[in-house]
Amino acid sequence: MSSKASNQTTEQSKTDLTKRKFLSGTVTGSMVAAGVSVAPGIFLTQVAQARTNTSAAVTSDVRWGIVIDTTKKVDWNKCVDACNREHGLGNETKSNQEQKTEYIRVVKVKNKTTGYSSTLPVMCQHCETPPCVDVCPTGASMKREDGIVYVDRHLCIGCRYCMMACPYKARSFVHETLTDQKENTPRGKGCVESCNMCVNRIDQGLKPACVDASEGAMIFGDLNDKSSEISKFLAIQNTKQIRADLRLNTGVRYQGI
Amino acid sequence: MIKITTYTLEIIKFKVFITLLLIMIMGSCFVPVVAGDKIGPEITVSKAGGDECVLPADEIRRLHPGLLKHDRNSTMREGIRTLSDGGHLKGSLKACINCHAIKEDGKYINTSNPNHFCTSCHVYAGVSFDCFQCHRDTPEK
Repeated sequence: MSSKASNQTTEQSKTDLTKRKFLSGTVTGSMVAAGVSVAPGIFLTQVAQARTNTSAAVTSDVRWGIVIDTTKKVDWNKCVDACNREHGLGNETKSNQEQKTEYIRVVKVKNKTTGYSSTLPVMCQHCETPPCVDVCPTGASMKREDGIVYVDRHLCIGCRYCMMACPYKARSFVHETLTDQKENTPRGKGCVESCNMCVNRIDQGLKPACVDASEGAMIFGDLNDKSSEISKFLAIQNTKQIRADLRLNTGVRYQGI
Repeated sequence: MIKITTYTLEIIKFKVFITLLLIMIMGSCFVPVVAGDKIGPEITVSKAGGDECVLPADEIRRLHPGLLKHDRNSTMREGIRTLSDGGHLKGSLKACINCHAIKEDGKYINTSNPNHFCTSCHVYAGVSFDCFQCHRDTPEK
């Protein structure tokens, strides 16, 4: 009798364990669960640093963002170079300088009254409500659930309406036949393209190439996670969005502009 | 008794001539097909993973456009890049290229070369494909 009861208990605990695993798996989704467990399945904090499970669809539990600290005088061209290497940009042979694709532009701003100037890298701002997605007639311009805005070239017809709609001049159009593209960034003639926050790297659990090249002047992370490095930075620093008046709630924020 | 006139003889001669001519014409038409074993395209796919890849060969022949399209959407739109066991998706173009690409003179060949594993069959079938206007057609490494 007693042995039967103990058997039952073991069975019970086994079931609980599976249930707990199942619950925690569901709650954390594709994120890394490394938090303080209050009760089974309930976590005090959830730390989402990188995607680890690439077999499940991304969810809106995460919203990726970048903070750029322009007060650190970094040579932003290093970030541009890293971007070009990562995505195989700059292999156009016939396009002129205006036509060539650039995911990141280095912009210099100056306060005329005080003379204070700073340079900042401007790329796709990964808006929460992206105008480029609103205007796209084919659904090619898209926002992934985790907040990354990019172009599905399979559907892009090259109308360039999104380029008109973007307030940040973040998008480029490929004017010529390209060869020898990067494996992770297929790109070709007749499609619009822009910064995709290195979605291929994020899915591998890496940071975007520009962030890695920025010598600590750029912070990448999950805006929804209050304990992430980026959220902590945003909570104590007076960061700005470019054209905040448009209320697009950008995923890229700037410090010191 | 049948009386053979010069006229009927002429007709018989003509019929024999026509029959022989037809046999010769038809013969010349069918000779390559009867003699040759090469029916269908010569697909230059390297058998890297044996006879069965992600699906049996005949299914891949019929279903690969659907496979590629299905998985491109789940990867692009939802960020699904691997199967739950960590392996690549069945319709991963990257995986096709990396596994089946063939070399000529020590270099991987492009789709412009008729021996490329995609081109070899697509040219035979008369089906154009535009994957490689954007995607690379050779392995990166």
